Amino acid sequence: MNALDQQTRLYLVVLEPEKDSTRLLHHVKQKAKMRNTSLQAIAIGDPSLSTFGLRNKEKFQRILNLTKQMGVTINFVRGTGAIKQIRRIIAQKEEEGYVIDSINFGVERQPSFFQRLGAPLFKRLASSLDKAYSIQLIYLDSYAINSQPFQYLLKINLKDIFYSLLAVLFATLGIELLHLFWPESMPITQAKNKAIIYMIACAYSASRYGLVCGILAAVTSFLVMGVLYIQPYGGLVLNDVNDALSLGLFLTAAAIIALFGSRDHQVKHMLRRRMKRLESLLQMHHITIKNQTPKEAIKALDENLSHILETEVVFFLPSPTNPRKLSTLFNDELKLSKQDEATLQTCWDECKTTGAGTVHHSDANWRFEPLIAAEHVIGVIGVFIKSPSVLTNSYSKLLSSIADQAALIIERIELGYIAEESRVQAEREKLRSMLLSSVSHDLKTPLASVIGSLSVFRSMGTKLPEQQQITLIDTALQEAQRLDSFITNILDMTRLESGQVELKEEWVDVARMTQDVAKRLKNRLASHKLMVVSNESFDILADDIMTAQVLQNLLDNAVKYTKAGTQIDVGWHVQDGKFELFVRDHGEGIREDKLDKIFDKYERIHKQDNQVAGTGLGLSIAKTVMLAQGGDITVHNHPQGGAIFTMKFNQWRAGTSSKEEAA
Amino acid sequence: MPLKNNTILAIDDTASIRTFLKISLEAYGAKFIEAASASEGLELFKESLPDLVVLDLGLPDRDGLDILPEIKQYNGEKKPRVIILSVRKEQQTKQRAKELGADAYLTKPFMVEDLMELIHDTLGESS
Repeated sequence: MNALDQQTRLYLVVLEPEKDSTRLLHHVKQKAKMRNTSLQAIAIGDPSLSTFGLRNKEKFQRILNLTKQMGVTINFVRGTGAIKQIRRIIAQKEEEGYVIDSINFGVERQPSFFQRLGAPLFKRLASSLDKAYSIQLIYLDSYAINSQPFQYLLKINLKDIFYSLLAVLFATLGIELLHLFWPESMPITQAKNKAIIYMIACAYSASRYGLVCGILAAVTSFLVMGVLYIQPYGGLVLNDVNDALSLGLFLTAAAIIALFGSRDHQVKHMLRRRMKRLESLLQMHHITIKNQTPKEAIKALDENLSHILETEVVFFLPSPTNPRKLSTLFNDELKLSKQDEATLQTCWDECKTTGAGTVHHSDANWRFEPLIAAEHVIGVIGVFIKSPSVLTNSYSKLLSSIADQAALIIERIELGYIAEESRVQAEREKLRSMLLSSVSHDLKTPLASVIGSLSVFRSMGTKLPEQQQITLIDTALQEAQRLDSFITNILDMTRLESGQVELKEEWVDVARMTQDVAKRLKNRLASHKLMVVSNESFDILADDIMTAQVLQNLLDNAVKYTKAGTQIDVGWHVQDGKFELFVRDHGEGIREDKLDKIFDKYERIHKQDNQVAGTGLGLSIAKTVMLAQGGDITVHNHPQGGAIFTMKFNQWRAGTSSKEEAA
Repeated sequence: MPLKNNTILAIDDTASIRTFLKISLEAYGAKFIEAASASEGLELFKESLPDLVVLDLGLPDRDGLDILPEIKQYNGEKKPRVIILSVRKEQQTKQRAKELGADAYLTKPFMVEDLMELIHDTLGESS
C-alpha cells in the first residue's frame, strides 16, 4: 500500500442554501486541520447570480463569505442537475491528484416541511455514485435525542407534596366543620357534596403543584372519603355499589381534573422558564467590557452563567503550550471522569456538541458545546446536566445559543484587548523614542560647548586677550562637568529602575555631606550665593552617596531656575518627629498646578530646561531614592517667595562630630 | 579680519555656545549679536538686519524651523543667509531645513574651523 501524501487527501463539504451550514463548516474545517487534509466546498447555487432565488439569498451569501474567510475554495454548481455536476467536480478533483477522503453533508434532525419533500441530496448522490465514497452526515441543529416524553413530570419536591396533602386536610376539616355547624347540608351518608369539596382540593393541588401532586391529592381524598364517610366508617370497605361507583367516578374525575390542572401549571412553569432564559441571553451582554482582559471576561461569564442556568458551567480554552488540549482557567478542582474527558476532547477535535443528550455519550453528566466565534473556534463550554429531564429541546437550543453568544463576547473582548495592547505598545514606543531624542540632545549640547570652546582656543587662543582665553577654558570645564552630572543621573536612573542599586544604611554627618556637595558644585554655584543656615550637628541614617546626589540635584535645580546673584539656602531641623533637610531658593517659585507632577520623570516646568543638566531626571531620582530609604521629598512655595524642597528622613540622631563653620 | 563688515546674529538658548561663538566671530572682526530665544531672535533680527543668522533649532519658545521662513522671507534689501546649528542629524530634518531656505546645516558638536568654512562659503556667494 503506497503511503498517501497527506496533502492530496481532500474533504469535500456540500453547502446547501436552505440550511444553516455554520456548524458544518466549522466541524469539517476542524477535522481537516486535525488530520492535515485539504478542504474544498461545493456550493449548490451562486447567490451572487441574479438567477438565484430570493429566499435564503442573504443567509447563503453569509455562509459563503464565512467559507471564503476560512480560506476554503468554493466550487459552484447550478441548482438544477446538481448531482451530475457534483460528480463532475469529484472526477475533476481526482484528476488533479486528490484522493477524496469524505463528502460531508449537513442534515437537520427536524427538517422543515420543504426539506421533507423529495429525497435528501446526499441520498440521491450516494445512489448515483458508482464508486463508494465515504459520505458523512453532520447534524446542523442541536436537538436533544433523549428528551423525556413526560416533560411535565417536573421537579417534585416534598414541600409541594406536603401542601397538597394539606389541601386534602383542609377539605376534610371543612367538611367536619360543616357537619358541626350545619348538619342539614351535609348528611353523613351523602357522599356527593363531600366529593365535590375534595375535587376542589385536587384541582388546586394539580394547578398549583403539578400532576403528581394532583394525583396524590386525588388518591388521598379517595382514601379519606372511603374511610371516614363511606360505610362502614373507619375502614376501607365498599359494600354499597352506589358508594363504590361514586368513589370510582370521583377518582376518575379527579384524575382528569389533575391532568388539566397540571397542564396549566406546566405552561406557567414553562413560560417562566422561557422568560428567565431569554433574560439570561440578554444579561450575558451586559457584562462590563471596559478594560477587561479576556481572562476577567471569561471569569465573569463563567460566574454569570453558572448563576443563570443554576448549574455548574465551565469554560475550556486551548492551553497555550498545546492547542490540542483544553484546560480550565479557574475551576482547578474540577474533576472529569475519563469518559467525560474523552467527550470533551471529541467536542474540541470535531467541533460538535457532545455529551448529555447528543449522539456522543448521551448519558454523560456534562454537555459540551463548542464556542464558535465569527471565524474560528475559541474553546468549549461545559454545562453540568443534573438530570436528563432538564434536557428539553428548548433547553438544548438555549445552551447552543449561549455558547454562540459567549464565543462572540469573548472574541470581541479579545479583539478589543489586542487593539488596546497594540495602542499602548505604540504609545510606549513613541514615548521611548521621544525620551531617546531628549537624552541625546541633552548629552550633545554640553559636548558642543566643550568641543566648540576648545577648538576656538586651539585655533586662535594665543591671539586672544587672556580673559577670553580663560573664559573659553572655563566654559569647556563647566560644560564637561555638566555632562558628567547628566551621565550620572541617567545611569542612576537606569540602575534604580532595574533594581540594581542597593541603598546603604549608614550614619551620615549632615553638615559634612552638605559641605562636600557644596565643594563639588563650587563652579556651578559661583553664580549664586549659597548659604548654609543651620549649624547643629546631626547624623542621619541614609546612603551617603545617593543622598549627596539628591542634594546635588536640588542645588543644581536651584541654580537653574533662579536668576544669577540670588541666594540659595540649605538648612536642616527636626520637625514632627522627622529630620528635614531643605534647599530653598529665592526665585519665582513653582506653578501650583505643577507642584505634584514635578517629581515625574522628564517633567519639565520651563522649556529652558533644555539648557541645563538633569535631563528632567534629577527630581525623579530624588523621589525614588528618598522613598527607597523610607523617607520622602516634598516641595512647596515659600510664603516669602521661591521654592523649597524638603528631604525627610526617618532616622536621625544628634551629631557626634564637632560642629563645622557654615560655608 | 575676514569677517569685517559683517553682522552676525546667533540665536541659541545655550549660553556657553553663544560664548565661544562670540569670542571667535568677534576675533574674526564680525559684529556679533546674540539672542537666547526665538522671539528675542526675531526682534533683534528686524532691528539689526544681519548678513548672517546662525540659528539653533531647539529653542525654548518656538522651533528654529518655524522662524526660518520668517527670516528668509523678510522683505528687505539685504537677503540674510542662515546657517542651521543643531544636534538633530536626521536626513529629513536637513531636507526640511533646505526646503525652508537654509543655506547650510551644521550638526553639533562641531569644531569652530568647520563653522568658519561654512560661513566663508555662504557669505562668499553673496554679491
